[in-house]
Amino acid sequence: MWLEGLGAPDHPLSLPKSLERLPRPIRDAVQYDPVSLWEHDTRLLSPALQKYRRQVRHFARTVLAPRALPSDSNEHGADTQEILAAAGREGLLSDLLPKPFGSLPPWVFARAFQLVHSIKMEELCAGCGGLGLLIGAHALGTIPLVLSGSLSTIRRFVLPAYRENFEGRPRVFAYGITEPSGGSDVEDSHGGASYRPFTTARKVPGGWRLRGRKVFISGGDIALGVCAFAAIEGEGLESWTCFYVERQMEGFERGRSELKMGQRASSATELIFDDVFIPDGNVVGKVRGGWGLNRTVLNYSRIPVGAIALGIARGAMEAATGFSLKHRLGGKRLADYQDVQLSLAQMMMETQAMRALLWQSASGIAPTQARSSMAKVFCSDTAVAVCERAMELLGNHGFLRGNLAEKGYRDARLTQIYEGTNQINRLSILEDQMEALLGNSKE
Amino acid sequence: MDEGTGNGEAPSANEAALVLQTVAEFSRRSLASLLPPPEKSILLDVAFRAAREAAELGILSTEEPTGLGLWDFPERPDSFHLSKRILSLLAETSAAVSWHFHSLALGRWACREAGLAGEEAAIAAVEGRCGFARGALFRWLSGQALSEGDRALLQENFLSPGQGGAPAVVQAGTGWGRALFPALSRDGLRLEWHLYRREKLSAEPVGDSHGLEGTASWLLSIPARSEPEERAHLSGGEAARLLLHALAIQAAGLLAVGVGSTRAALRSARRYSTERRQGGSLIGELPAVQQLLGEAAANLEAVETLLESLSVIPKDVRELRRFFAIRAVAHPLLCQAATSALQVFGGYGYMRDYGMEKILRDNQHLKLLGGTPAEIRLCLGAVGEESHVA
Repeated sequence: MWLEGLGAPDHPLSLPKSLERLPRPIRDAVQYDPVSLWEHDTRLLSPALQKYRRQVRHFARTVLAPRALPSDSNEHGADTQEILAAAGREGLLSDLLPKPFGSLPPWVFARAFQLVHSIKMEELCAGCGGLGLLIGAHALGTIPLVLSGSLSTIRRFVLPAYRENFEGRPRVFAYGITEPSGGSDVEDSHGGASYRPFTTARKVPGGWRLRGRKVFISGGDIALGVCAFAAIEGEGLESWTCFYVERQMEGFERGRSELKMGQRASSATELIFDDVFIPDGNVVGKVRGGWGLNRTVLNYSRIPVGAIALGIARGAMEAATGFSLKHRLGGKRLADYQDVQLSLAQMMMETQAMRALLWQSASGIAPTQARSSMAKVFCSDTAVAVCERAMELLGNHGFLRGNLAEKGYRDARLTQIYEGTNQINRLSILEDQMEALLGNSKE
Repeated sequence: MDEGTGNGEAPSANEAALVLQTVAEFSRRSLASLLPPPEKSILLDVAFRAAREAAELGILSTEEPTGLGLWDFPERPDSFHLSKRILSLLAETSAAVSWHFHSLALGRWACREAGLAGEEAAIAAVEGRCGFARGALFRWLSGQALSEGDRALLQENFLSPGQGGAPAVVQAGTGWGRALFPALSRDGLRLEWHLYRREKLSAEPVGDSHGLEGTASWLLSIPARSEPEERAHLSGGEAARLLLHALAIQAAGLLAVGVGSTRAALRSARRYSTERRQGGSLIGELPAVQQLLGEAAANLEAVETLLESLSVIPKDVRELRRFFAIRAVAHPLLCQAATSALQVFGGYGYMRDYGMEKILRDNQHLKLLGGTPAEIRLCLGAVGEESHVA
C-alpha cells in the first residue's frame, strides 16, 4: 500500500496523473520516474560506471551485508580471508591500475579514477563499514607504490599482488604513517613543522635500517606489505621517506590490534620495526620524497573516506527505512506517520547532499587538498547525524545490536577521526585556499 | 549512613553531605574496583553485585526508606535533589551501574506507592512499549478527548497478556525478581498497576546493546493467560498520578546519570589535554582543542542547570512537560558533549582503552531510553499549557 498522507501516484491530483493531462512538450519539462534516488544517480554515470556501481552493490549485498553483524561481534575483526578472496576475484583489490595490469577499464582509469573509488567505497560500506574498510585499506596501502612513478616498484610489488588477488589468493597492503606520538603531526604542514621522528631510517650498505613503531594501521594485521614512512636518522619530517616493508623481513613484527568502537571487521594494528633491513630497491619514490608522497596520498584517500561515511549513513538509513515499513503501531506502519516521513526525507536529503559533494569533488582527474578535505569533513559529520537520526527513528529498539542503525553510528564516528581529524581537515581547507584568500592567485 | 532521619523529617545539610561523601567513596573505590578496564566487556552481574554493596551502605534502601537512600521520598525536594546527585556521582564511575540502581530504587518506590508488598527487587517499566503511544498517553493523562486512533495506540502502549508485536524494552541489570507495569483495565478505560513475577513473564536479556554495558536490554512481554502476582488497589486517578510521578522520576534519573557520565568524559578530556603533546605543544593550548573542551563544558553546565531546576515532582501533566522538555533538549547536548570530549583524544578516543567511546555510547543509549527526543516532542506537542492531570 502507498504511504498514508502523501499523494499516491494513482491519485488524480498526484504528479504523474497531473502530468498525463499536459501536452507532451510541457510534460517532458518535468520529470517523474518512479525509481529510487540511487537509480537516478546511477543513470547520471557513464555506462561503464553504471555497470561498475551495480556490480559493487551486488557484491556488498551478497557478500558483505550477511557478514556485517557477525564481523562486528568479533572482538578482533572478521575471518577476512574468505571475504578478501571474493573481493579479489571481483577485481576490488586491483583497481588502482587499468586493464590488463589491474581491473579498471582504461577509460575509467584515465577519466574517472577518483569517482570510481568513491562509488566503490560507498557501495561496500553500505553493506558494512568495517568490511568496506578492510577492502578499501588495501587500496590506501597501494597508492604510494603506484604514485611512486617507478615502473620497477609497480612491476615488483603491485603486479604480482594484483595477479594473486585476481586468482582469489588475497595479498593486501597497508599504509603506515601514524606514530604513537599522534596522527595529526603527520597529517598537516603546521603539525609537521614541530614533528619529532619516532620511526627513523639509518643508511647502511645496500639499504636502510628501520626502527620505530606505527599505530592504528588499518589492515596492518593481514598486510603482506606496508608502505611505512620514516625520517632519516638525525633529520626531521622533511626527510621523510617511504619504505616498502615486507611481512617476512626480520625485525618486522605486528603488535596489538586495538579494540575499537566500530568498523571492527578491519583491524587497527601496531607495527613494530626493530632494526629491519630494507633494501635500497624497497624505497618507494625518492629518498626524502616521503612527505610530498604522503600529502598526495592523503588527498587521494580523503574523498574515499567521505564515501565510506556516505555508505555507512546509507546503510543506517536503509535499516531505519526497512524498520519503519515493517513495524506497525496503532494499526499503521511507522512509515505512515508524518513525523516518521519527515525523518526519512531528512535522511534521504542528507545522503543525497553528501553524494553530490563527493561526486563533484571526485570529478577532476587529480584531487585538491581543499576539495578532498571538504568532502571528508562534510560527509563524516553528516553521516554521524544521519546515523543518530536512524537510531532515534527506531525508538527504544535503536540501541539494540541487531538493528544496524546503532552499528552505523559506531562505524560512522571513526570517519570524523581517521585520515586526519575533522579539525585538521578544516585547517587543510584553509591552507589550500590561503593564496586565493590573500589575493595571491592569478585569477 | 544507616541511621536515617525516618519518614517525616528531611535530612539536614550535614546528613545529605555525608551521604554524598559516602556515595563518592563507594563510587571511587568499591564500584571502580568491581569494573574491568574499559577495553573489557562488563559482565552482567557487576551491577547486581554493586547493588548488594550499595544496599548495605544504605544508598539503596531495602526495608523502610530512611530518606537518605535513592528515590526514598521523591515527593520531597530534599530527597529528590539528593537522589539526582547520588545518581550523577555513581555515573561518574559507571553509567550502567547508576542506571541499574535507579531502576531498582524507582521499582521499590513505585511498589510502595502502589501498596504492593514484597522485599524482592522489582523494576518498573513505566514508559510502555512504543514511545508513550505517540503522545496519546499525555493527551490521556491531561484529560483530553481521545480519538479512536489514540485508544488503539494506548492499547498497544501498555503491556498486556498475549499481546502481539514488538516487546517492551526495559534497561536494567540482573537480580530483579518482579516487574511492575502500568496497564489498562479490561474495559480499556482505567489505568491499573500490575506486578508480575519474573517467571510469569517472557524476559529475554540482550546483553550487548549500544551502551550501558553491565546491564541488559530486557525484551519483556506477558504470555497469554499469565496473571499478575498482585494488582494495585488504586483509583484510576491515583494510578494515573503514580504514572505521572514515575515518568518524572524516570526523566530526572536519565538526566542525572547522563550528567555524571558527561562529567567523567569532560574530566578525562581536560586531563588528556594537559598531558598530550601535538605539534610541539600541549594540545590544550590549541584553539581547536579548547573549542572542543569549551563546547563540552558549555553543554554540560547548561544541562546541570536544567537538571537542578527540576526540584519538585510534578502535580500534573503541565508540570511533567517541563521534565520532558528539558530531556528533549538536554540529552542531545550531553551526547554532543561526550562526542566533543572523545574528539580531543583523536584516534585514542575511538579505542576502548580510554573509555571515551563507552561514555559516548552510554549517553546515546540514555538519550533513547524513556522516550527519544522525537517521541518527547510529539508528547509536548500533544498537550497545551492549560492541561492538567485527568
